[in-house]
Order: sequence, then structure tokens, then C-alpha cells
Amino acid sequence: MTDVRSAPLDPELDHRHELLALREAAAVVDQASAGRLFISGADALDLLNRLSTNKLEELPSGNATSTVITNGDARVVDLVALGALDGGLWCVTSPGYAQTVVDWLDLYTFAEKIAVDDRTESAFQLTLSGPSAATVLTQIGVGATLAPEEIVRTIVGDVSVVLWRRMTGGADGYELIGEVAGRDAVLAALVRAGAVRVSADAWEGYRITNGMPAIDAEFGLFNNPLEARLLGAISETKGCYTGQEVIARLQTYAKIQRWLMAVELYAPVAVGTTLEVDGKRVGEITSVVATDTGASGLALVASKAAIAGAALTAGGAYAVLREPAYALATEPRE
Amino acid sequence: MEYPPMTTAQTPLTITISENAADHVGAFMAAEGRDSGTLRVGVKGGGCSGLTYVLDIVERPREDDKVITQNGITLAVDKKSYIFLAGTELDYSGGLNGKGFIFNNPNAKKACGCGTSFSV
Repeated sequence: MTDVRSAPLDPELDHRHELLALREAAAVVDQASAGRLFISGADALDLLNRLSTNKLEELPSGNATSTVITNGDARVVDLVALGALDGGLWCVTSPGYAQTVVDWLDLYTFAEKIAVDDRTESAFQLTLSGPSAATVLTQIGVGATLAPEEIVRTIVGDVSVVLWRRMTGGADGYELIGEVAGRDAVLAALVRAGAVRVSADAWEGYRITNGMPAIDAEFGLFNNPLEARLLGAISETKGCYTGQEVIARLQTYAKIQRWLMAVELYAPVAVGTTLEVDGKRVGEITSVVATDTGASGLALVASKAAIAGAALTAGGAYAVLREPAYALATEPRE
Repeated sequence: MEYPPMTTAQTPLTITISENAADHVGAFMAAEGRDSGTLRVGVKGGGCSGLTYVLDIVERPREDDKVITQNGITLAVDKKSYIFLAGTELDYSGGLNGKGFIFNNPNAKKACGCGTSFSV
């Protein structure tokens, strides 16, 4: 039997094996495509507070949160994770969106004291997830007692890393961020301690089955963060921010047009496939991954049809809606 | 969002302050015990629509500011804010239902419900 911990990453590797590691053990994925910024300056948090949905008036060092940068029409510029450490804010953007966030902050910087350093290329980012993730960290001697949304600087081997516990890929996990020269040593330490290295494709499947929305699929400049059910990153009490008026109106008058839902499919279908009830279009598949029983997906569904347990068709195939796990885990309870 | 054009035939390349607004700025300066001062006008990111107006009374303009004097008031604007404010008239609406200082900004395509923020 192959020792999966030391197995080389094979593009032909069965993603089900990788998903099993993520679900039942501990797995590590290289997040090279995500954006990494370091934002510093006395006005950095205040500016981000004015431009995004979550309450950021205070974020003491060692604490982290997520927020949605929205435009004046409340459309999503990006969902970003912010962690206060090293005298500034580590900011993880969506894959390919570092420059978009840099440009957005620059556009709205007038007299503010703020510096934005794009470290996407100079810093590595490994994500450790799965129920045994804390055990792996214990094995390498770091951070097993981190609270959710806690961020610290620590040492792995002889590499200085940012260790950040947060919801990532729709599940509890740990980001390890450090200078790119230390990436291989940290990855090797995690694998030696029992983490299975998984591919970006497997991580994408994990995200989808966890119900975690992603940019350009479930949210973006084409919709608002309420449709993507990013309520865990939206403060209803912080007061004005860019897009707040639209978001408040949509919530107050229950005018949210579409709703993110998970979809169980009995056959894989393409992204963009229409969801129908009685031949009438009610939504569209936005992400999909093959599973043992067919496929799982995410969809933006017309609010009136977005009912967990509802049966419909996707490209002629039978499909059932369910609540996305990430939304259930992060939406404020009534 | 794109930067607005620097000017058009209909948009004079300046910021004006009405007599009424100038009178109230003078009154605020007097209330602060100032014999003289500069009205700093600018914008900052935020507010429901993306940009909000900023007013402040300061000792003197900064080196790179655009400086305008009108109706006895010296008005200073930083260059980036000026891009969004060129052609604006600063007015004042008083009385019980008044809104205070009002920016009549020809660059503003949309404003939020309360009128304190705008987008271009």
C-alpha cells in the first residue's frame, strides 16, 4: 500500500482520496494563487472599515476577521480575510485579486496614512485543514491551542511563519504564511507530521462540498454579498460603509433576489446549467464537483425557490437543494 | 469607478463658495477664536456611495494644495480630492430643516439618501 503522506502529487491522483484526507484526517494545500497583502499605517483599519462590510473599528494584534469590500451599488469587489499581526494587517484576497484590492484601496486613499505591500509572490501560503490538523501542528510543535480567528507568529523548523486559524475552504483550518524560501521546509514538516498533500482541484472540491462561495462563481461584481450568504462578514450595526445603504434596503424590505444553495446532483453537469422547476428557470449552477453518488454543486437560486429539500432538475437530471454548510456555520442566529 | 474628467466646457476648473457658506465658515472660525484660517475641503473613501465630503478649518494650506480665495475665505484642496471636486459650489442651508454645508458637485453621478456621500 502506498504511503499517501509521501506520495508525489500526481495530476491523475484520485481526488476522492484527497477529499478523504481533508474530511477524515489532515491535508495541506499550496495556496499560491491566493493574494497576500500586508497593509500597514495608522489609518489602514479605518479605511478598510469605511470600504467594507464588517465592523473593523478595532482589531487588536493577534485577532482576525473577514470582510467584504463592496462598491457603491453593494456589488462585491472581493471577500478578504484580515489578520492583525506584525504591526499591520495580513490580508488574504481571492485568487488573482491582489492587484484589484491594491488598486481599490489606492483609489480611495486621499490623506490617509496607509501602505499596501503586495506579497503574493514573495510569501508562500499553505493551508492545513481537516479534523487532525491540530494534531499535525502539535507534532511540529506549534499553535495547536489557537482559537478561531487567532493569528500568531511562530517558528516551524527554522522558518518564521504566520500561523492563522480561520474558516478557509468553508471549514476550520490553519494558514501558514512565510517568506517563499521557507515554503518547501514547512511543507515537508507538515507532511512528515501526517498531513496529506492535496491538489488545488481537490481543495476546490472541498470548498464546493463545504458550501463556501468563491469569487467569479458565487459572488463578484455581478451580485451583492447577501446573495452569496456572506452574512458572517457583514455587520448590521456598524453604520455607513460603501454599499451599506443598498445592503440595508435589501435586508429591510426582503428584496434579495437570489440565494446561494448547495445542490446534490445524480449526474455531473456543467457550470452554468440552468435549474428548473416545472420547466421554469429558477437558478443556475455556479460550481460543481463529481462525487461518488453523482455530483455536488453550488447554485444561485431565485429566493422563492431556494428551499432546502426542494427537488428540481439541472440539465434534465434530478437535483435536490440543501443549505450550504458554510452559510449555516457562519450566518448569525436569530 | 473611473476618475472624472478634469474639466468640461460646462464645469469651471475651480471650487466656489457662496456668500452664505463663507459667512458661516467665518462664524465657525470666530467661534474657535481664530482671526484667520483656511477651510480645508476634501473627500475621503467611505459613506454609502463610496466618497464622502470632508471639511476642516486649519491654520494654513499644505505645500501641494490648490488654494482658492473667494468671499473672504481661503479654501485649500489636496490634488486628488480636487479631481472629484472641480466645479463644486459649497453652499449652506440653514434654519431648522437646513442641512448645513452642501456640496453642489457636478461630478457626482449618484448620492446616498442622506446626501453626505457620492459616487462619480
